[in-house]
Order: sequence, then C-alpha cells, then structure tokens
Amino acid sequence: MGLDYKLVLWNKHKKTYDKIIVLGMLAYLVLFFVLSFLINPELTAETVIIRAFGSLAILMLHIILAIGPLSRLNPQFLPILYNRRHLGVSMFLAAFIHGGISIFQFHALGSTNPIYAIFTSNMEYGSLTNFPFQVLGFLALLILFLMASTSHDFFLKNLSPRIWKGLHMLVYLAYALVVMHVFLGAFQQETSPFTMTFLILGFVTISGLHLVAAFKESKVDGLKSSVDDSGWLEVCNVNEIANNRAKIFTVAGERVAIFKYDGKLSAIHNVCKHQGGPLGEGKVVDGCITCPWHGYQYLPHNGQSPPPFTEKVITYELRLSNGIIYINPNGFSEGTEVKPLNY
Amino acid sequence: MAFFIAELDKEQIMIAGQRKAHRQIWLAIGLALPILLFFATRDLDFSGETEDVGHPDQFVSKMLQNRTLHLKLNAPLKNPSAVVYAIDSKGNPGKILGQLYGEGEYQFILPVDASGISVVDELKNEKIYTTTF
Repeated sequence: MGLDYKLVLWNKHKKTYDKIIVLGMLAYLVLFFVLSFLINPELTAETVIIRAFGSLAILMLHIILAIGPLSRLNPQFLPILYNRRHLGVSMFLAAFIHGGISIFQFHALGSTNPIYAIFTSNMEYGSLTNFPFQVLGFLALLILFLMASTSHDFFLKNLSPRIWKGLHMLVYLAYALVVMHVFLGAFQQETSPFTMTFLILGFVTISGLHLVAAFKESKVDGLKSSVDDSGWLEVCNVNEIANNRAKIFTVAGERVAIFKYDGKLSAIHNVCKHQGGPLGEGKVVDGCITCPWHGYQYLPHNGQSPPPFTEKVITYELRLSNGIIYINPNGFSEGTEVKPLNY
Repeated sequence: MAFFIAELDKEQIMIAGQRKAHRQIWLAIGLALPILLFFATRDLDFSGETEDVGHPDQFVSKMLQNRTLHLKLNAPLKNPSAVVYAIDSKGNPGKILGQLYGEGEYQFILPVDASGISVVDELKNEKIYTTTF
C-alpha cells in the first residue's frame, strides 16, 4: 500500500518469481531452438524464431489462465496469483516478438502497408477452413497490448477497478482468438499432430478448470443460512473462527468477512477496493485487516483504510447468542462505524 | 434481500456480477470454440492422397542430353519450400535433386532409374508439381 506510483513494485518474493519467469522463458527458447534445428534443419532462422516465441506466448497464456481457477480451487496457488501481472506482461512481450517478426517477414517487404496486408493478403473471410488466421492473431495481439499497457496500478486507480477488471477480462476473447489463430494456421501451413494435441489438451484443461471453479463458487453463493425472527442470518459458532482471522460468509450473493481479534468481532465486505482481493483470506496485522493480495489495510470497526488512505468498504452489524454469531444482512454505507461485538 | 442489494454500490454488485460473467464467458467459449473448430476441419482432406497444388503453367520441363533436366519456373510459388525429388522406376520420390528458390531456370542431373520429378513443399507436406517422362 503506497501513496505514490512506482514503475515496478518489487519485493523479495516478486523478484524470485520474476527470476523464475525469465529463466523459464530462456530455457524454453533454447530448448526450442536446439530441437528445431535437430529435427528440421531445413527451417530458416526466422521461421524458428517466429515459432519459438509464438509457442512460448501460448504456453504462458495457458499458465496465466490456469492460475485464477486453480487459486479458487486450492489456496496454495494464491502466491502465484499475486505475481500474475508480471507473467502477463512477459507473455505479451513474447507474443509481440512473434507478431512483430511475422509481420516483418511476411508483410513488410512489399509495397503494401504491412497492417493493410495482414487483412487483405488472404480474403477468404467466407471460409472457416481457409479463414485468414493472421487477422485473428493480430486482433489477439492488440488485446494483449491493451492489457499489458494498462496493467500498472496507475491505470487501475484512474480507470476504476470495475472498468479495469472488465478491460482485463478481454483476455478470454484473446484466448479464443489465439486458439483459432493457431488451429487454422497450423492446418493451413503445416499440420503438426503435436501442435494440435497440445492445443486441444490445453483448451480442455483451461475451460474445464474455469467451469469447475465457477460452479464451485456458484454452489457457495447458493448456500442457504438459517434466518431468525428479525431477519438476521446465522453464521457460525464463535469458536469456529481463528484469532486474527476471518470466516467468509455469503449474504445475498455477496461475500462478507467476519473477523475475530482482541476479544472482538467485526464484519466488513470481503472485497478489497484495490483490486478485488479477498479480505477474508487475509489477517489482522497491527489492528488492521490486511488484504492478502497487495497489503491494502482496513480498520475492522469502520471498514476505512487508516489515514492518509481513503479506501472504504461496507460494514455489517453482528450479534452473539449462545456462542452463535448472527449478521444483519442489511449492510451499512461504506466506512460506517459499527461497534465491535465483544465475546 | 432486494433492499440490501439496492443499497450496495454498483462497484460492489460487480463482484458477484464478475463471478457470473466468468461462468457465462467460459460456458460460451467451451461450447462455441469446439463447434467452430469442428466446422473448420470438416472440409479438410485427411485421406493422405494429395493433388499437386501448384499451377501446371508455372512449370516447363524439358529433358536435355546426358540425363539433364531443364526446369523453368514461370511465376513465383506460394509455397515457402520447394524441394525437387527424382521419381524412381517404382514411382516413388527418391533422390533429392535440389531446391527452387524463385522464378528462373534450373538444371538437374537425373539418376539413371529416374522416371520423373516431383516438387514438394517440405514444410506444408504438399506436392506442388509432378511430371513423368
């Protein structure tokens, strides 16, 4: 959490992750070059470079898309989620090298504008089999550029988390375009069983993970709780919550985090204002609820970030009866002071 | 509950909305992409029997003395690779004679048992031109 913007927010863990990303990318490229020249020595260097960076970008895109649902299915993957942005920018760089060299190699050496040539060199837009696959790759690259160039916290803050998140969900469209780009390109240029198998397995894995995670969350959202005479919802026994930790509870489809700390209980909306991180998976540090994603902090009794920060989340009223916690489902306005419940 | 939802800021509503959007997007991708890919591959020929993809007028071949073949390529090829094979007496591609790099005239010395030549795109695994003598 900081008041100013830094070009890259590095800490010890992020540096380790970034080293793994760089070394992993280099290892893949070296392996690809060596195997390509051994298996198919007739290939030109330009072709090998285009294929190496293209396949690297696709592999990284699959890893990036798997991180989200894996984290929702198993919290052990959460540390990778925190570093996903650097992986995304690295993936864009690989895709950009692939696209840039391809455009130069196939379209920039003639008299036609290379971008115009991408759209007009193959005009079989009416055919699915012979559809101009380069156009699909170019559109995917534009989306990835848009995402990489707005990945910084500056844009997150100024575009608002809602617009930023919506913008970055375009990655799913980019993925669909990339799958079609590779699939059609492979069939039109060189039918490789390895490429096809990887692509189909990748698609089944990624879409399967996302759907399994989505239906698991949908099940959680649909859980019904006992309601008492005054309309308050039964949450759990107070002993079920660990000290300085929270229980996440669903109220009308929204997640609420009920924290236990210093002999008190407080409830706030579960979603961090910074980037939508799950506050209920964080803990109370120095009296503040601390988001596990980027360390944004909130005071438990009013849902406000400590000065000079201005973030605020919705707060909720709690009641204790025979050791059972009840919550008033009608949340207060963001940042409203609610007296903590002593237990 | 409706009152509760109305009280929430739209940004907060979006969180549950995002979960729903993710679910709908992946349902759509999971259904639409396989259908598109199926129709894209339905017209492909997987029989393995290939016809020459090059235009016959692009090539003019003539046998010279001493088993020398003169091959003229009149127009650029669309294929990225064009390897010239000699066809042996059994009709199979045999010895590699050389490569075509662009428009122009080429000469190849044929093996004794050659009954023709075949120009093959090694990258796309396509036959571009075949001729027998």
